Amino acid sequence: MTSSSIDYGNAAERQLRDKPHVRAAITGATLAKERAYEAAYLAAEADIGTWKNAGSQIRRHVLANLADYLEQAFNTLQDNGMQVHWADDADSARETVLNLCKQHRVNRIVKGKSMLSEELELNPALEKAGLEVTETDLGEYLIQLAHERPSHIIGPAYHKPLSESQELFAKKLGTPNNADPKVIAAAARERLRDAFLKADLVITGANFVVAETGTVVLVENEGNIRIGTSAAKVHIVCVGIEKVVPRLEDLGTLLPLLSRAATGQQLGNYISLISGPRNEEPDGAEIVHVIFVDNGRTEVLEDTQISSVLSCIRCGACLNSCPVFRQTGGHPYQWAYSGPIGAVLAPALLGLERAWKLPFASTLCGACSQACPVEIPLPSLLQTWRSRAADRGLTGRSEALGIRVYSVLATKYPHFFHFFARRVYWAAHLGHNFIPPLQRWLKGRTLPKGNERL
Amino acid sequence: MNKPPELVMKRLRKASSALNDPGLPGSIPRNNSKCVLEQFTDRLTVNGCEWQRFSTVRDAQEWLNPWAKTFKTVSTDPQVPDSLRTPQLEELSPLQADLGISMAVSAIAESGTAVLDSRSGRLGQLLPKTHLIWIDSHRIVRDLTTVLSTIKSNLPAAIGLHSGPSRSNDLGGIPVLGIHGPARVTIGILESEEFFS
Repeated sequence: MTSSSIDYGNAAERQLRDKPHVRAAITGATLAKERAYEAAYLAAEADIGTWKNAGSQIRRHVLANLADYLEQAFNTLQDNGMQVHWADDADSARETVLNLCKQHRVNRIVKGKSMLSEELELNPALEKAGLEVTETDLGEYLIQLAHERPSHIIGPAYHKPLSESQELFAKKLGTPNNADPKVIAAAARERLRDAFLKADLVITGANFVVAETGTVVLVENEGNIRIGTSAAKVHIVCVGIEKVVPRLEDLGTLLPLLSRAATGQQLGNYISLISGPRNEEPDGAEIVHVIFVDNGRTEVLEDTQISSVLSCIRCGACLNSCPVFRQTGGHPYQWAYSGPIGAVLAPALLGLERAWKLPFASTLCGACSQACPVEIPLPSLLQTWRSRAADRGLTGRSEALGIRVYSVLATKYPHFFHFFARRVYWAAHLGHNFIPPLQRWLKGRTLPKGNERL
Repeated sequence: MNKPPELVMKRLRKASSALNDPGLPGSIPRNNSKCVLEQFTDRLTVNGCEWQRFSTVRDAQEWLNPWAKTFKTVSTDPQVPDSLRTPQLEELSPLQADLGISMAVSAIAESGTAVLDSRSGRLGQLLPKTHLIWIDSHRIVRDLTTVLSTIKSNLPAAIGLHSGPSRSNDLGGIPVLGIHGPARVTIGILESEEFFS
C-alpha cells in the first residue's frame, strides 16, 4: 500500500467505469444484508433500542476503564495458561507473530478471517518469510486465490459476482466451467480440509476478549475457525486493545447485537469461547498466544472528539446502510476498513493528511448511525474530521473562500443570496454550466430553488 | 507474568478519565410469552436444523435406529449415554466418520443454539457431514446471558455455541451449506429423566 493520500472519489470513478459489475454485486449484497438486519432488529425478543443502549453502555464503560480491563485480561488469560503479548504497532505485531512462528517451527498456517490481520498486512509478511498461509473463510480464500483485497469487513468477496468465482475456481481448483455453487463449495471444502489437517498454526482475530474469565471470543458462520483452532497445535490470536469486555455475561448483550447487525442472525452459527489451551481434552490447540495490538488506538482514545469510534464491534451494518458504499464496495477506500466506519477510522489510524478525503465520501444522511448496534455517532465523527481537514488547509483555499462568501451572503445579505440561488437553480435546471467550478459538484445534486418572495 | 506496558496504561488511564463512565447495564427485559421449548424448536426450524422431541428412551431409539441406517460410520462423544448410541455403525475418528453424535451441556431457546463442551472433543462436533446433538430439555434456557452465568464457574478450554449448519454466502450471495462444518444438523430433545439414569 502506498503512503500517498487516499482519493476515494477518483478510485470510485475508475472502478465504476472499469468494473461496472462490481456495483451490481455490492448493491445486491448490501441491500440484502440491510433487509436482514432490519428484520432481525424487529424480530428481537426485546426492544431493540434498549438492547442497543445496553451494548453501547458496555462499550463506553470499557473505554472509560480500558487500562483496568486490559490488565485484568492479561492476568486471567495467563492464569488460563495462555501466553499474552503486547504490540505497539503493526511492525511489532508482525515481528511478534514471525518470532512465534520460528519458536514453534511453523511451516504451514491456516487463518480465520481477521480484519486486524488486514490492517497489520500480516499475510505478505508471513509469505515473505517463506511460510505457507491459507485463508480458510470461503470469501477470504476466494480473495486470496484472486490476489485481491476484501471489499467488506464481513463479506470479503461481496464484490465478486458468481461468474467470477466460477472462473476463478475452474482455473485454480479445476472445477467445471459454470459450476454450481455447491460443486465449488465441495471442492473448496476438500482443499481447505487438507490445509487444516496439515497446519502447524492457526491465526485468528477475536471479536471480544472477556477480562473476567480470560476468554477469547470468535464468531463465524462456516466453522473454519472452530476447525482451525481445534486441529492446529498452536493458536495465535491478534486482537485490538479496545476489544475487551468486562464480564462473560456481557456477551449475552453484545453477541446477539453483533450477529443481528452483521447478518440478521440471532447468533452467528459458530461461536467459540476459548479459555485456554487444551487441558486433558481430546483435541484443541496445545499452545495459545494472544497478541494485544495498539497500533494507534491509545492515541485515538486520547482524542475525546473521536474516541467513541473505539466502541465499534466490526459488524459492517454501517457499510450495508451507506448509500455511498453501496455504489462501490470497499476497494476505493483503499484500506482494511471501509464504509462510514472506515472513513472515521482511517484518519484516526493512518493520519488525517493521508485519509482526509474519506470523511467527504458520505452524504451525512445518518443511515449509518441508525444501523449501528452500539450507537456510534458516525455522521458527527465524519463532520469532526471534515472540519479538522478544513482547519488544516487540506481542503484547499478556493473551497474555504467559497464557503466564506456563501456564509456571509446567506447570513448578512439574504436578499442577494436568494436572488443568486434562484438564478443558479434555474441555470442548472436548464442545463447551463455558467459557474464552471460548480459544474462537477452540481452533477447529481438538486439545488434549492431559493425563496421566491425575497 | 507478562503485564501490559506501564507507560501506555498510564496514557490510557488519563484518556479514560476524560470520558464519562456510564457503568454496566442490567439485564434486558424480554417480551416473549412463548414457552421455552416451543421458542427453541421454532428457532431451530428458522436456523435450518432438523429436530425431534422424545418423551421416552424407547421413542428415541425407535427414531434413531432407522435414521442411523443412512450412515455407515460414526464418531460419538463419550458423554452420550449408551441408550442413545448407534452400535450398528462403525466407530471412527471424527475425520473419517460421516455422522457425529454429541451431548450438549445446555441450549438457548432465543437463538436455537446448542452449547457444546470441548471436554467432549471438538472435532466430532465439526468434521462429520451430519451432526446429531442430544439435548436434555431441562437444560434449555431462555437466553445466552443465563447460559453464560451458569457455565462461568467451570469453563473448559473451549465452548462452542452451534446454531445451525455450516453456511457461506460468499459465492455470489447464494447460500451453500456444509462449507466446513456439518451441512446437516439434527437436534434430539430428551424430555425425560430416564435418559440420564
